[in-house]
Amino acid sequence: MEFGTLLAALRFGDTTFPGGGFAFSQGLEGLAAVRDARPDAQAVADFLDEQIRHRWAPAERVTLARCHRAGDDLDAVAALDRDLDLSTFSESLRAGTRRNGAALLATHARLGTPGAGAYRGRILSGEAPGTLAAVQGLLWRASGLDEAAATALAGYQLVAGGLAAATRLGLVGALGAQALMPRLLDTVARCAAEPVADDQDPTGFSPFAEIAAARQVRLPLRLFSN
Amino acid sequence: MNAPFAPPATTRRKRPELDIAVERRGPASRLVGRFVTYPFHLTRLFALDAERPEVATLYVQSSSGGLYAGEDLTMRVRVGAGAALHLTTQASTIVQGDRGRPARIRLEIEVENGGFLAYTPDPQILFPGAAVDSRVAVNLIDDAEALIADALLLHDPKGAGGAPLFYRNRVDMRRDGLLVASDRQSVDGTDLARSDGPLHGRRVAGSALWLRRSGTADAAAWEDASGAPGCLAGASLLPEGCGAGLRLLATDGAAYQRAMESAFTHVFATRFGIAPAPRRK
Repeated sequence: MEFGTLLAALRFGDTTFPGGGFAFSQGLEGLAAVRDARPDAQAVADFLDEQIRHRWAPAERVTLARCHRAGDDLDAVAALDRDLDLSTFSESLRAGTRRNGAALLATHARLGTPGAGAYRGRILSGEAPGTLAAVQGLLWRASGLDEAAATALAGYQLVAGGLAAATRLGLVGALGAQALMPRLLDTVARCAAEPVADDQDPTGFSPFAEIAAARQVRLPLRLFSN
Repeated sequence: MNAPFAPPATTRRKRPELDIAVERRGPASRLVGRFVTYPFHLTRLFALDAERPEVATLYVQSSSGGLYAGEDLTMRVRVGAGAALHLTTQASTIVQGDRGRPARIRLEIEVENGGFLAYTPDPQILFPGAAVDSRVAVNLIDDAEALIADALLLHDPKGAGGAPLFYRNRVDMRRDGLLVASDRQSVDGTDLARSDGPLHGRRVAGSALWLRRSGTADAAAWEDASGAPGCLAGASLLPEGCGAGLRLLATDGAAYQRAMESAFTHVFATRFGIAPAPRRK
C-alpha cells in the first residue's frame, strides 16, 4: 500500500472522522435476548466473527468492491446499491445501513468528494437507497483508496464499531475490546483475501444475527438504532 | 436487479417435472392443470378446512427417495385469481451427497390477484457430502398473497463428523413482475457442521416469507406466534413493504416442525379467520 493511501485510510478510519457509525450495534444489543444470558467477551467476539465471515464478506464486501469498480458510473452503483438493500433480510439492519450510508455521504458531500453530491441527490429523490457498502465503494475510490484499501477499511470499521458498541453496552472493557481486536482483524484479512467476481451477487448466512436484530428492535430500552 | 419477471432458462430448456395449476371454481379451488413426472408424485386434492372450502391442499412426494447429486429439477405452480392452495410434503427430503455434485431444484410460482399460496415443505435433510442449490421465483399479481418456507436439517448418520458440501437457497420475490425482495442464503457445509458455526449447535435452520400487501404483516405478532420450545424465532419486515420474513433455528426436526406449524397457523388464521385443520403427515 502506498504511503498516501495508508494515510487516507487512517484518516477515514479515525473515530474523529464524522462517518456516523456510532449509532449502530448490528444486532449486538439483541444478543442477550437471544442467549438468555449476558454476553461475555467470548460471545461478543463470536458474534462479530460470524458477522464478518457470514454476512460482511459474502454481502457488503461484495457490493463495496463492485461499486468501487463501477467508479463514477452512478447508474451501476445505484443498481448494486438497490440489490444489496433488497437482499438484506432484517428491517433494522437495512435501515441502519441506509442511515449510516447517508451520514457518510453527507460528510463527503460537504468535503466536496467527487460524486458525493450527485449520489446524495439520487438518494434524496428515492432513486437509490444509499447502503453503507455502496457509499463506501463510491466515496473511497473517489478519495483515492484502491479496492484493497477500501475493503480493509470497511472491515476495520465493522470490527471497531462492533467493539465500540460492546464497550458502550458494558459487555467488555476498553482493554478487553482491544484484546479481541487481533482475532477479528485476522478474520477480516482472511475474508478480504477472497476474490470478488465481477458478477458476484451479495449473499450470506446469518440467521442467528438476524434473530438477534429482530429481538433488539423489541427491547423496551435501546441504546442503538439496530 | 429490478427487471421484469422472466422464467429461468431451465423452463425454456425442458418442461418442469411438476407443473400444476389451481383455479377457483365456485366455492372451491380445483386442479385445472397437472403434469407430474419422475421423481415427483402428487396426491389428490384435499379440502381439509370445511369452513373455508376455497382452500385446497396438495402433498407433493418424491418417489426416488430424495434429491441426488447432479439432479436438476423444476416445479411450476400457478394459482389463479381468488384460488387458495396449500402445497406441502408428507416427510422431509433426503439430499444425498455421494458424488459431490450439487442437486439443483427450481420452483416457479405465480399467484394471481386475490389468490393465496402456502408452500411449506418439510426440511431438506443434508447428508454428508450433500450440496443443494435451490432457487425460488415468486411472482404475485396485484394483492395476491403467499407463504414460502424452506429449511435445512443436518444429519450425519454415522456420527463421524461428516459435513455437507454447501447449501444455497435464493428466493426472488416479485410483485407484478418487479423485484421487491431477494432472500439469499449461502453457506459452506463445513461451517454448518461446526459446533461454533452459524447454526450455534443446532441442527435445523429455516425461513418463512409471508408476502402480503404493504402494512398488513405484523412481524412481532408473527414472531410471538411462532415461538416453540427448542426453537429460536425472529421476524422482520421485508423490503419494499412486501411482507415479513421469519428465521428459525431449531435443535431438531420436531422443534422446527412445531414452530413452522405455528407460523403457518398464524398466517392461515390471519388470511381466513380460522385456524387450519391439522395437516396429517
